Amino acid sequence: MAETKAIHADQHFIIGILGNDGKVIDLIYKKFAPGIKRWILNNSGSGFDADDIFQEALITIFRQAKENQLALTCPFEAYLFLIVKRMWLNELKRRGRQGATIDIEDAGDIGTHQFKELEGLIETQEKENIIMRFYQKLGDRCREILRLCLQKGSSQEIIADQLGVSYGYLRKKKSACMAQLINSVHSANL
Amino acid sequence: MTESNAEYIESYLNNDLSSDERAQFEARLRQDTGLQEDLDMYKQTANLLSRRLDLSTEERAFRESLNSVRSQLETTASVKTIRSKARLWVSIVAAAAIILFIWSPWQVNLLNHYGQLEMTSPVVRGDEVQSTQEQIAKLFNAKQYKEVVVLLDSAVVADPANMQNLFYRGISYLHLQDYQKARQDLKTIFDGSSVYKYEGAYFTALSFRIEKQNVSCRIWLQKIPKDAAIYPKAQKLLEETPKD
Repeated sequence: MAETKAIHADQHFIIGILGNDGKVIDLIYKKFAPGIKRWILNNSGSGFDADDIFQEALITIFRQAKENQLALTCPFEAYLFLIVKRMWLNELKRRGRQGATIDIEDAGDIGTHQFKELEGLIETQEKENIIMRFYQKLGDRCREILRLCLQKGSSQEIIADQLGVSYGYLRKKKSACMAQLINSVHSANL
Repeated sequence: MTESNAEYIESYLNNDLSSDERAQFEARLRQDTGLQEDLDMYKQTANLLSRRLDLSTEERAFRESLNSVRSQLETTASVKTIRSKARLWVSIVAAAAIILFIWSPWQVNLLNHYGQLEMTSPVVRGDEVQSTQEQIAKLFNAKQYKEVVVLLDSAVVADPANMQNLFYRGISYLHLQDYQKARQDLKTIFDGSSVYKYEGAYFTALSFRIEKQNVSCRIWLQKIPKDAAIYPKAQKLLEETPKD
């Protein structure tokens, strides 16, 4: 299988990301951010888009390394670019622009299994971002209730108590906030 | 999705339905594709939102590192031109005497960048109280936030009306990345009328900014009136917080 390829020397970037090593993160920004910025600017994006996508791509790598023990079989830059391009293409689609001019290579130097895994992670992360965008637009009370209820480890009885409301009221309010969030995501057709 | 469907689903997922009601829900689920879709969407949205609202400590720290490198790089260009003029801002808030170092772009993260605080030695009080306060100031300034929170906890219990202790506990939680607890303390400060009132709003805003909740950050910054000592810093943070 393709996954048996040797680990690339750039694996040290992955180790640095996983260890939240400030020096490595700094180096990654200095070495790779300008190239990616140029590419995004050349493909209908802004500097702010470039910063966002770059950051999101690094988070994807972090998650992949943490959850799936990412072993790099190609240069780090190529891997990063693969994620950036995929994310930017998706973003352009969301903005109603076709990314037809963008040449997206497929799995390239990485195995198909790893590529699938990567696509799954990107999809989850993008969905999270979209939900968060609409979550931020909810009222203060809704955000507070959802934040408290959706953090693990605290029972809703205790949360109701903290907020000084009944459990029944909290459940009603939480589900109403969830409905509002789901409907706003849905109506934005994303 | 209707609110009544959402509440029905929530009750089902929370195991709040009796066995009869549960059976009824599941029977309806088999026939009603609308309810099925709603249930899937509800579960998926809750999972995704929970994942982001409840990030692992490691991912939270990693995101903060990215934010800090990013904000450092963003400021580097402007720093080059204005560095010669850059000064350490010193702000003394009434008798409480907090010193805020705001403009320090070489600092490593958002919190240090926008809100580094130093606690001054206490004013003269009873001996025992004074030594505790001294120790709190010493630990706080040495950035030993875990230790200082322990002392502040007892100090807050002993003297709940002392807003200074509550304020520094909020700031310590902020450094410990426990944003929920930080905001609890800071909100109490903001709801009160002490000299720390608007610092409470400012640091609440900063906590949201660190978590990339820019809308909430902006809302809190806008609560700060023009005549507050922290207003210029609040405006600076507001300018540098993306509208999203």
